[in-house]
Amino acid sequence: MLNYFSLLDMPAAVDLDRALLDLQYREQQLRWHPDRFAAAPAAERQQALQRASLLNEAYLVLKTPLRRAEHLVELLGDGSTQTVRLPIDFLEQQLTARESLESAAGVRDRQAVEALRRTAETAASECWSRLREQIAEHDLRSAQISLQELQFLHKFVEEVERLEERWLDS
Amino acid sequence: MVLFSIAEPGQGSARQVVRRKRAVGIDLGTTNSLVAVAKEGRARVLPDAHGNRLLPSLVRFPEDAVPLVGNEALAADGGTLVSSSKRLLGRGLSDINYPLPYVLQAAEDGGMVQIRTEAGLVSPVQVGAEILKALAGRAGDALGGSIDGVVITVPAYFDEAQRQSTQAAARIAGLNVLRLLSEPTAAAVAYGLDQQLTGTVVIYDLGGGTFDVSLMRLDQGVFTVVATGGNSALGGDDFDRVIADWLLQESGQPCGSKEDYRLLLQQARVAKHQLSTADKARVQVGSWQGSLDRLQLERLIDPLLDQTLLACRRVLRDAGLQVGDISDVVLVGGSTRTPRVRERVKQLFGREPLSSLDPDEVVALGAALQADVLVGNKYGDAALLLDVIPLSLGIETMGGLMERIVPRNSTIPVVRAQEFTTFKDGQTAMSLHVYQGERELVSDCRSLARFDLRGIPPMVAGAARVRVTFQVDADGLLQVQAEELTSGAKNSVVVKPSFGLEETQITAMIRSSMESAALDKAQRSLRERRVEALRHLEALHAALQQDGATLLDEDERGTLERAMRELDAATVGTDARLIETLTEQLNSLSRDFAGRRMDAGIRAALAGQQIDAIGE
Amino acid sequence: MAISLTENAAKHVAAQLAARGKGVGIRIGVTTTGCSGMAYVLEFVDQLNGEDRIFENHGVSVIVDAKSLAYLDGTEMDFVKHGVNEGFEFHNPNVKAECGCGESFTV
Repeated sequence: MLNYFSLLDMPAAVDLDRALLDLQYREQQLRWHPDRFAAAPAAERQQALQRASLLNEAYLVLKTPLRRAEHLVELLGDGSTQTVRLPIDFLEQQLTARESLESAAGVRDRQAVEALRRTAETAASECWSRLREQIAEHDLRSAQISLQELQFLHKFVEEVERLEERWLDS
Repeated sequence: MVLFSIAEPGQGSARQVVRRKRAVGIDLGTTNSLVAVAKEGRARVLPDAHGNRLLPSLVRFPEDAVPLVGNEALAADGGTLVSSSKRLLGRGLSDINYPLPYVLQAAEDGGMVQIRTEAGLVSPVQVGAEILKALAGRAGDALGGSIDGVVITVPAYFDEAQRQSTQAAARIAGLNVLRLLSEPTAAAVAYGLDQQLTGTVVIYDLGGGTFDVSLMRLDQGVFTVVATGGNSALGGDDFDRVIADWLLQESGQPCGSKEDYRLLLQQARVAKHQLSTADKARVQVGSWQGSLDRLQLERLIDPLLDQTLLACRRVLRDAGLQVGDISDVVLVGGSTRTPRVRERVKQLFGREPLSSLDPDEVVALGAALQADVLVGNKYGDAALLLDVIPLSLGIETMGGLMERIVPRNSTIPVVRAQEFTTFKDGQTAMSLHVYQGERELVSDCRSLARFDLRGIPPMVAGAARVRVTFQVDADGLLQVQAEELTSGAKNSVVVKPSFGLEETQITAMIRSSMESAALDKAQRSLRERRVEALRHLEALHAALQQDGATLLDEDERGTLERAMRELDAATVGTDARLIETLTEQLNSLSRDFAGRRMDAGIRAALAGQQIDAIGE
Repeated sequence: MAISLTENAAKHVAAQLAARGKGVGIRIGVTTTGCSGMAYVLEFVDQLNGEDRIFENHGVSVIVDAKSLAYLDGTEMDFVKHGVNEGFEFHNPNVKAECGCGESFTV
């Protein structure tokens, strides 16, 4: 499968140097953007179009931490799309958190919502540490689990943010 | 610059050079249009023969005669005068919910509206083509030859149908479009290259008929559009309209004919312009007389400005930025001359907005700079523009829901694929309906295209794997492809928006345009010959004045001057061949003189004297 | 008095001379064109003329006749790529005005 890290000439890792990423993206776009081929034959233009589109996609994935981690885990598993089973206690925690969020939202309890957000964020940051180690040790199975947990937590935080935004707007 | 290649001995004449390409930027505006050219990183607007820089976006369609454009259209009588046609591009009749001083008619196929004129039904695309032709002609005259390529600007918020219509207009006008460029992006190029502006910049662009806001990062030759928003049906025309409505209401006069309404709008516009400097403007409707003051104007236009500021806030939110992160705000578009607009923008962003480049011209200047790059005249320190799509693209899924495939503000070009499956056992075809918009239900989004994928082998529901690929190119134009992965059945469409034009319609318009263009071409060739002849005459005249007395004897000078007079007389006539022949003749006659000037130049140089320029 | 090539230009000239298989260098000159303008001449040289001056640049011989030299003194020739076009370009300090296309110039 296509490796976005090598496409942008970046080391494949959970954490990356954003300034370097921006620089690499820029250099590559300066070379491949279709505007550079405005007067070129159709075949070259088509090639530039595809290459530039790919660069945009790679840049988007690499600059978004969660999508970058997803890509890294995909690369680790060489594109296999096996589903993993999350630990039952994690799922239970999530269920409880969601119920608490709903009831806190119903009564507009801002403090409770903030507390839920902090808990989720702490859990996420622990998850990130685990994921870093698991990827370093090429432990695909565990990395897939951590990643899925992260996706759950990320969605939860997003929901909290949407809720807070609605409160701000009204 | 011109590039040379090495020739064989004795053949290295000037014919070896690669001609510098002529490329221009065109701002096809709702109220006014203009054309600009760039050379070595500096852009300038090209005026017409009378020195007018703006071309009013007006086209008059008289019966049995060629359409008139701009001031000529305004000055003439008879036939329908079409204004603000940009707002009709890619739009159906039901989209137009405001009065216009001419009559619209729904297209037979339910597509783009048409305009009733004395010359028959006319598409807004044809109106645009006439304006583009006029501008290209102006540019050709100024640059001494036909135009190799153009960059045409469109509002960032233009959707697929509106972009395609703009491109179609250019094709009908016989222009080679290097790129469709968003207006705010073009303005940013002008500020970024001409004024060396850097940082995170908001471009607030309020034109005659459209409002755009773009948030851009300008950084060492790479200009990135971070987020964009706006309203493709809100602009200075709406200011005129609310003023006109207020006038009717105040005066208690009935709204008369279309022509009356046009005059009323004109008066509203004049009053609006007066209030940019004065505190009060006199107005008159029929026998009623009154005045409009600034406060009342503000009350009338504030609700419209609120909409623009709301769009600004939304763009900030899309970009995840606060007002404090913005380093500059740039004003673009003639409507930003209204003091209230400036005031409200300043209030929102807490800083004085920039307008050091003429807000009417800045878009065309930026387009010209980019055109010069794209045509290949300039390369090294050229700016790279990374633009985004203004509206999300997706397809309809079960229950009339919009499944977003490319979200808005995605950097273009972009390719995105998503897999879908069949929902019935044995289903062999799938209908794909492409939409553009931000709402959850497709009924609230704009339909772009519909096509079928056939030849799916019969399988149980959910077993087929249909991959739908959206490709948006650097112009923001969409192509959709669908492929069934297990069987390889494939179908793709270059999206022809529902309110766009069919290829056959475009072809027919090109044909009719070409018929009238045969005449055009003869005129063009005549114009080119004239321009060339006049340039030669001018150069020779200057040379004679400088060195004629010292380097030529009386006879020689007499012969040259006679040939010059002959050519000069021919340029007033209409015989292109004669002008060409006489130009050639003058050329050979003056070759000897040019040689002597060169020798004299060398002697001067060897004597250590200053060589001075005599200008082109 | 001198005429120079950039290293990049010299590299391209050397390559083109090699591909051609003969020639002692390149000639840069000026010729009159039109009514009052001048244009550059750029060609291979197989045989030298009496009035020629030779300038060595990065191993390439640039040959200029005395007449042209007055207009070309201080000129640098570069090899550049503009979009899809590539070729040689002259930077001539004597030029005060160029025609719109840069094909001809006046001093």
